[in-house]
Amino acid sequence: MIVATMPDRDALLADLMHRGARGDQGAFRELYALTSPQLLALLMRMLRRRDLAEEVLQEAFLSAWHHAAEYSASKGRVMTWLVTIARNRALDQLRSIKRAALAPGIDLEQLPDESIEPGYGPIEARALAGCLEGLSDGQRRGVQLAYLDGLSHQEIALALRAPLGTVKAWVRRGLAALRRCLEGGA
Amino acid sequence: MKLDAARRDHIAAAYAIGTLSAPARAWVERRLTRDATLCAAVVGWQDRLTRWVDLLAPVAPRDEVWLALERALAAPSAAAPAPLPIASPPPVSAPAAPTAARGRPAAFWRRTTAFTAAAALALAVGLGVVLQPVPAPTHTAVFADAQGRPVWIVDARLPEGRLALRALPAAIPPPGKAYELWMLPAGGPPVSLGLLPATGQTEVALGPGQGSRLTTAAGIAVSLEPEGGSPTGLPTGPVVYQAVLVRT
Repeated sequence: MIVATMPDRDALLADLMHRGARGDQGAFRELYALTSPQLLALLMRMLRRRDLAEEVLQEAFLSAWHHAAEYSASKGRVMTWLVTIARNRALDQLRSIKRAALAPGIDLEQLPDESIEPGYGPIEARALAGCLEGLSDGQRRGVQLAYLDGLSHQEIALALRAPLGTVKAWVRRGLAALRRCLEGGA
Repeated sequence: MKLDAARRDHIAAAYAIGTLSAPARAWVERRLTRDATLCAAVVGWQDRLTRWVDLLAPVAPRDEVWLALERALAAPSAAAPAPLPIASPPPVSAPAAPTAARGRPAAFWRRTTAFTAAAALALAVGLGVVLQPVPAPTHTAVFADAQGRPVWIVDARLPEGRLALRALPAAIPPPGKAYELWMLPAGGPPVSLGLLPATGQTEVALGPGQGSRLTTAAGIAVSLEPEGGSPTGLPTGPVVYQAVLVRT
């Protein structure tokens, strides 16, 4: 697969988003085709069920369509904007399924395999992968469970069998170390 | 409230990664509408973290998703779509002092700001976490999936014969099925310990003598059973997870 280099891809997505904002459904469809597989990968990880993940994906894109005119570079890359919309909806969904049991009768879908596919992804993403490698085990798992899985500090503490204070420190220091690593280009 | 650079970055990171409590999140969201620097810090973090999504193995949505979306796009848009709960920089002309504030006693503002600052710090640092005091477990186990991610946590208080089973965050069985928990006694057939919750937490009271048998058991396991549990008293479906109960 040929992956466009990142600035090109970001510019392409921004162009599609702006055309979508002017009501160009074809452009929006292309935006969907280019970004939805990554978004669905994240949503399936967070929600662990394809049907729920696809529902949130659909809502997120509908919301992006209606708010497309509000997108600007100050909101970050297009992918950042879309991920934020989708992730916020998934987090809301997670908070509500934790409160109320789900209705049964829906397929359990196999989860995607790995949190990091070696060699996959554009160069900036691989820089992040390299920086993640540099974190301590607790920091990396803490940050991962919080970001990719949408767990709260308490849930991470339970999952990693660690005191709450330790988990908070892992996540906080893990994020700080990531930032230093990404900005230092190390 | 003035945020120094380090605290601003910490709050922005916690907001972007999603670990803030609901009140702290609401505080940040209110602040984002008028604090361009905090807004830029949040977007910076979102930009950095979003790279992670590019590292995930992509999953193509089913065609139905786009088809349903296309129908929804064609429909006349709702009168006013709900506002997006994401960072939005304030209007460019924002820095003027709030006009509504003029004429109010300065002391009132000082008090309010001091209170808000203190509350925000408490929220951002303590994150408003209130944990129910529960007796500490004597034994514990984690059922994890193939990627090492937790599915259920088992916390046992064996002297009291209680097990707390918690799904993290959700483990939904296929239609008409249930996940059942088994003790695997050394040299004996599996013994059912009840059904596992799909979400949230359930408490199980162990039968007489089961607590002490658990301390010597070879492990615990989860099988996929018909709704309501195994009809035979022994696992009838595949064993999907295994774990060892360890002393805390």
